[in-house]
Amino acid sequence: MDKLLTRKEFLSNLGSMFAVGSAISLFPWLTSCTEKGQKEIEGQVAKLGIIGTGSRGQFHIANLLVDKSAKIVALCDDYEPHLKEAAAMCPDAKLYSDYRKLLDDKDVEGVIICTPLNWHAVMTIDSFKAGKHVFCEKSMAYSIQECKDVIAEWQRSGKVFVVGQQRLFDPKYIKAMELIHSGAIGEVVGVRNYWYRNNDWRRECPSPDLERRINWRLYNASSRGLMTELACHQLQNGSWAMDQYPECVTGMGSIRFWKDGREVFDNVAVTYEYPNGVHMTFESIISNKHFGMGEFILGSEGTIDLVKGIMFSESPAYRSGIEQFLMQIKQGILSNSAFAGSSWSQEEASTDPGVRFTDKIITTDGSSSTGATNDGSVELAHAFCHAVITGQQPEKIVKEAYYATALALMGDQASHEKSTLYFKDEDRIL
Amino acid sequence: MKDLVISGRKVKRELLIALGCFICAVLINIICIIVYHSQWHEIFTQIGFTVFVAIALYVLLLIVRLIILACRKIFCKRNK
Repeated sequence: MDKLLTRKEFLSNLGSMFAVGSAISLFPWLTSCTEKGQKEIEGQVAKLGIIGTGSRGQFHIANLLVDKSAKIVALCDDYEPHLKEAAAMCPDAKLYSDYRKLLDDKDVEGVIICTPLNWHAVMTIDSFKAGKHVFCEKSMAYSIQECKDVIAEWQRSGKVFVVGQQRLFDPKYIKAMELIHSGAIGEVVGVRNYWYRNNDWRRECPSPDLERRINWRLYNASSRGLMTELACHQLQNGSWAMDQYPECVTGMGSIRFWKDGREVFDNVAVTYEYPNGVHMTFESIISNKHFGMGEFILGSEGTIDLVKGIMFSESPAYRSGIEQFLMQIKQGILSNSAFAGSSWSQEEASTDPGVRFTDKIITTDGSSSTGATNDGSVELAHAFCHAVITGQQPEKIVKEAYYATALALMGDQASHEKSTLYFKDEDRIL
Repeated sequence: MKDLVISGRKVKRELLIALGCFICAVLINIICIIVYHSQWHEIFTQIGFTVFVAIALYVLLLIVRLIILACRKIFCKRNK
């Protein structure tokens, strides 16, 4: 698990959000991170219950413990070792092994759901019915129908709903989207996402009886594999950059390397098509980590590397050889010697080292299954606290989360069927 | 206070090391021109960057030399 953030680090994170204050009109869900938003909840706390205290649950607990606007009053898990670990982090919290009992607790105002995917919908719906505000981890639900049921119940309840799409709060992505919407890279012509790891994605399992509970990510009954666990974050990029959603998806997947009894694919390649003709790709292999994690918005005049926070120009200003060399050392980027193009001449990849568009960038290689530091998770949890206290629903978050989940689910289905699926009109609900 | 005496030999040695660093920096500049397909006149026009690289190399070398010197002194002390 990542280290506990200090109060200073937490405030520093929020400080970086204030720097994008001018972008609030473009990104209205950031209100909670502005000075005004901070003042609104001064001296008040959101009383929260955590349902699911595994690695991700403990990651949120660690972040919330340094957030003055949060108070964890209850914890719930039916796996005792996890519950004990979480209880050690917040000894004053009440402990439950049944989430329904936690929902009956009048002290709990909002819940954070960090359980396996197949539990998201039922727990979220039950939470709304119990009058609680909900922060559910991504993906929103196991199927598109479940997502629609969740949204219907949320709309009925009038409560706050937040889903764990933390890139919406990551300063790198916010700045990048601001640049893209201002036309800095011209017209968006492509979106490329990939996420490579080299590990079996397994958690240590103390007994074979617990295999399907501990390693729930590996089985179809509880997970939709790489698409809902990894792609869901990255598929948001294209829609966010272009303010539109894909029309269709095609894909393939297989179990190529980790033939250990798992049911979900260990490699997938999926392509989405937008109404404007742009294609967005997602590739993931978990038996080779050479390329790590990458997210790129390709424009007619430039490219934005969302993960590193760098903008590359299609016609970069001339730089001398030694200047390029020194910039590459400074940015820690190795030149790419890949070749592209089918013509007789070799088309070398650009050697332009690009320009960083944000200060103090903290990048992640995407290898953590729990959560990375400074990836927007802290701010997202804080936004939830703000929403619980004020009762104001952060704008657009649910819509972004719904489409990210729907795209991930469609990608998974397409790669199982090896077919092309079209986004149905009845599924465009927000 | 004791006067510090820097012998001519030492000054000459430092100048030679500095010259070596400068030549290395020029070579780096030439390699960069080849690798990045830039223009040959950069050998002269980018002299500022070349001097910067030469100073960086000299400082780096100085740190390495100081570490070696410190290790030698510790080693000699132990032998004594």
